[in-house]
Order: sequence, then C-alpha cells, then structure tokens
Amino acid sequence: MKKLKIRNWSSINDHEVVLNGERKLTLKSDDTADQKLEFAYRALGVAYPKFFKMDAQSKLGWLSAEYLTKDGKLFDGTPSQDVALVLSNRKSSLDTDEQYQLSLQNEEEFLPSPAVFVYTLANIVAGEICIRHGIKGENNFLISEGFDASSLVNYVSILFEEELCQQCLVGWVEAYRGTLRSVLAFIETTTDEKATMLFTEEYLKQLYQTSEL
Amino acid sequence: MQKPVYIVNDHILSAIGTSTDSNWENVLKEKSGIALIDPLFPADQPIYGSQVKDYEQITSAATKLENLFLYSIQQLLRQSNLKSSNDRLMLFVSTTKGNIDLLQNEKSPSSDRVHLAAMAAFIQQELGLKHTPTVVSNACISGVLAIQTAALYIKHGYIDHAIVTGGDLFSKFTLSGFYSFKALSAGICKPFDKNRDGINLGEAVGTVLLTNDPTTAKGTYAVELTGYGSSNDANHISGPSRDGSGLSLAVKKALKHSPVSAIDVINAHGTATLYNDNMESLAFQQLGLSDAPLNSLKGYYGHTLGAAGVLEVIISIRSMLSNTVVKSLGYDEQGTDGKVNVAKTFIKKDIQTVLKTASGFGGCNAALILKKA
Repeated sequence: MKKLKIRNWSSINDHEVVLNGERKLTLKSDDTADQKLEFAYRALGVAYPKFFKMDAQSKLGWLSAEYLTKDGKLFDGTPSQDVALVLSNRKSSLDTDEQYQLSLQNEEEFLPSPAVFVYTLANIVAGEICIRHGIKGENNFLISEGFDASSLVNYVSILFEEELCQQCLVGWVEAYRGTLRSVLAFIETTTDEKATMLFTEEYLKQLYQTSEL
Repeated sequence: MQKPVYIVNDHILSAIGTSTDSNWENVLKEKSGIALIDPLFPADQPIYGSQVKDYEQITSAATKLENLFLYSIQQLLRQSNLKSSNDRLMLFVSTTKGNIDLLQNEKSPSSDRVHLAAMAAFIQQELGLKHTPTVVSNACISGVLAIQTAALYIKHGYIDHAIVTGGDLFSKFTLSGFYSFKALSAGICKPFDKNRDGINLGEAVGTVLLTNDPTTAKGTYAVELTGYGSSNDANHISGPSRDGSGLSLAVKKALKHSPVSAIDVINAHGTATLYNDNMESLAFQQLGLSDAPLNSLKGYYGHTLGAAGVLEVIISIRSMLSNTVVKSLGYDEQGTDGKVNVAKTFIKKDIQTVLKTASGFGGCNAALILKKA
C-alpha cells in the first residue's frame, strides 16, 4: 500500500476560514452567506470574475481549493490528468434546486433560467474547481447521510493504488440555506517515515469535526 | 492477487420493457420508447421523451422512482443466487436528481428522501441489504462511474459483490432545464446524424450485478470489466470541450491494459446535441478508433441520465453475447467533424470487447472496457 499524507487542508464554515488548523479569516456573524463568501474571496486578492456567476456551493468549494494554493497553483509539476478530485456532501445541489424549483411555479411567466439550472447538479462545484486549477484527472461525487471519512479514504486510496491518480483533492462541500461547510484536503504520497498528517479515516474525521466548531 | 471483476446479471425497466429480454427484443425490432408527450409546461416546440408508465407498486411507502428501483433490484436478485442479506454485498446507486419531484410537495411523508442518500437508505432497508449504499451523483457519467466505483471496491477486496442500479425520473424539473438550454430536439433524437438537433429525455432504471465470483452469484453470463477511467475537461461547466481531449484522457486510462485494436464496438454517449456528438467524434478519431463500429442508444431510450450508463452497458452486453452490433437508431448521414463509423444497420460480428463512454455537465467524462470472459 502506498503511504498517503495530507499536504494541506482548508475548512470554511459560517464563522471562519481555516488553513491547516489555523484561522485565516473570521467571518462576520451578521453577514449573509453570500456576503461571507464574497468577503473570503476579496481577502484572497485574486481576480476571477467567474466567481460571481457561481452558486453558493460552487463559490464555497472554489474558495476552499483556492486557500490551498501556493503562488496561485494548487499543484505544480504533476500532469493535470493525474490529479483527481473526489467530493462529497449530503444535500447534493439542493440549495440551488430549491431556487430553480421556485422559478417553475409561475406558469404565467414561465422562464426557467439556464444559468440557475446548470448549478442543479452536485458535481458542478467540482467542474468549477477543475476549470480553475486545470484538474483533468479522476472525478467522483459521493452523496452520504453524513461525512463518511471511511468511504472517502477507501476510494481515494484505491485511486492511488490503481495509479489512476498521483495527487488528489478530496473532501466535503455543502452550502444550504445560508449555512456553509467545507473541508478539503490535498493528498499525495510520501516516503517519509516520520510524516505527520497521514491520510487516515481517523485523521480526516478529526478535520471534519474541527471544522464544526 | 486481485481477482477479476465481472458483470453477471442485469435488469432493465424502461419505456420499452420491464425485463432485459423484452428491452433487447424491442431494440432488435428498432422500437423506440420515445414519443410525443405532454410537456408539463408552456413550450414553444413539441416535446418528445420516454416515460415508464406501467410499473408495479412494490410498496405504498415508496415514491415512483423508489418503486422502479425496488422492482428492478428485486428482479435482479431473483435471477441470481445472492441473498440480499449477504454480508459481502453492497448497493451502489447512480442518480442525478433522485426524488426531485418531492420538491413540489414538501409536506409528503417521504419528503426527506429528496436527499439522495436517504432515498438509497430507504431502498437498502426495503430490500434488507446489510451495508449503507454508496451513492454516485456525477451528472451524466454517474452510471458508468458507479460501475467503476463498485468494480474498484470489489477488486480491492472491500466487498465481493455489488448491485449497481441507476435511475432518474422524467421530471418537469429536468425537462424545463434542458428546454431552457434549448437542448431539446423537436422530434426523436438523431445521434451523430447531420440533422441532429438536440436530446430527448428519458426515464428508466437499469441494474447490474458485479462480482468476483460468477459461480456463487449464479451469473447468466460473465463479462469482465477490464478497464475504467474518468476525467474532467477543465474547460466549461455546461459545454463539452471542443476538441474531445477530455474524453480521450478517460478512454486512454481505460485502455491502459487493452490495445486500441482490440475494441470491437464503441457504445458512445451520443446525446444528439451538436456539440456533444462532435466532441465525441473528435475524441474517437484522435484515439485511432474511427473504424470501430459505433452506436448511441439514445434513439431508443432518450437520455435517461443516472440510468444511462448502466442501461447502455446492459444493452452492450446483450450485443456482445449475441455478436450483434446494435443499429444506432436515428442515424442517417455523417454529421460530425471527426470520422466515426456509426452503425446504420444491425451488424453480425464477433464482439469480444466494447468500449462504453459517457460525458456530462461539469466537464466530466468516463470510460469502461467490457470484455467477454
């Protein structure tokens, strides 16, 4: 079995943005989710106008990945087709599904929006992250009742064993009715005997629980 | 030593049949399940689609989609030796929108099952399956990807058997969305044809049984899964890459252990939109697969979303077992920039291997290689 470690990880919830366990940004409790997401975006100091077209969940995932970059890059030197992205959540795209459903209620002025509809799939946030960072490798979006560290570690470990990837961004991204929650970890192999932050079920679960505070 | 993974049994519930046998017979008769339908909203074009109208209610507690899933999985289990209580068996559910119709009725007792994992858990409990199901929701590649995911779990010893079921409803939600994209055909779709003008949506459930032990699982056949891979175009969230390079990456990964020359048939995604089919044609040309007979099954079923990958794998297996390349219904004249060899008729041919591909929103692509065991 290959030894896998977490290179770095980020989490965003309603209160803060955290990188490798350290608070990077405090989010104002009386701000709306949209305001918080925009605040976290501005704090990065990058220009990515497409950000403003995204739904809340895509913004959240995009930001979580962005906080893991160094000099604007999520990875460097690895062929883009060897970088995988495995995401999960409970709500799928329900936040935007509900908005889209509302637009269907009015039969008099029936004008469903393609710009909203396109975000009514769980994996659109994955597409946004792939576009931003040029990730062309394995994709998967797993829906579970709660954070399922075991399935994520098992599946990602298999991708490495099968040589279907050399590096992988994995985690949970969910925005629903104004509540934000994401934890993303960047996984790579290591040969270092003393490596810390090993990619194990226990450790990943711990990261998710930390993000709850 | 890792054991090979096989598909050994299957079931289809669709507009053209309530069993794989009846589906296959109707495919051979060139019968399409696509018909003019009530669009469910004011539309400025005729709307065609395929719907499952007659289905058995397994339990009154279940939604329509859950009843379709339960029926299909129960039929599959009846055809095999496996007990649903088998400790080494896991359910994998492929769906894009699940019980999306519940959004219209939030007061329904089943309203929590608008959550895909809650829907899957309900199916698990109704069937008495031991493990929490794995739910794959990755747009139009969900079915192919769920088969890949299940196969990898088996290959790496986490489980020995997997039921992979894929399904989606024909819903106002999805239909209006594709309508808003101006992606719906004004007639019955024509994949890869010069005059193709968009997709038809369809409703179906397809279910396969995967195992590392065809004897125990009592397969009616054994088809090995020898390659798989997925990719992302990293280009656009709602449009395919123009050059097909993303799909090529997924196919190359799947082909890692098989030479291109060994691909006897390609069962493409072939949604019949201008851009998708063109993208696929460029990918297959780049891969040196221009001469392999190719088909899309969307002319029979429409685009069945979460069911598509599973259902199309099942028809491809029938095609292998009967050494018959399925006619690509709706195709008449070459209409893509890349050269592809679209099957205009049913062709008798020794088929040892099939390449199955899918592509979807979010820029995702997936490929599987099926090989006769």
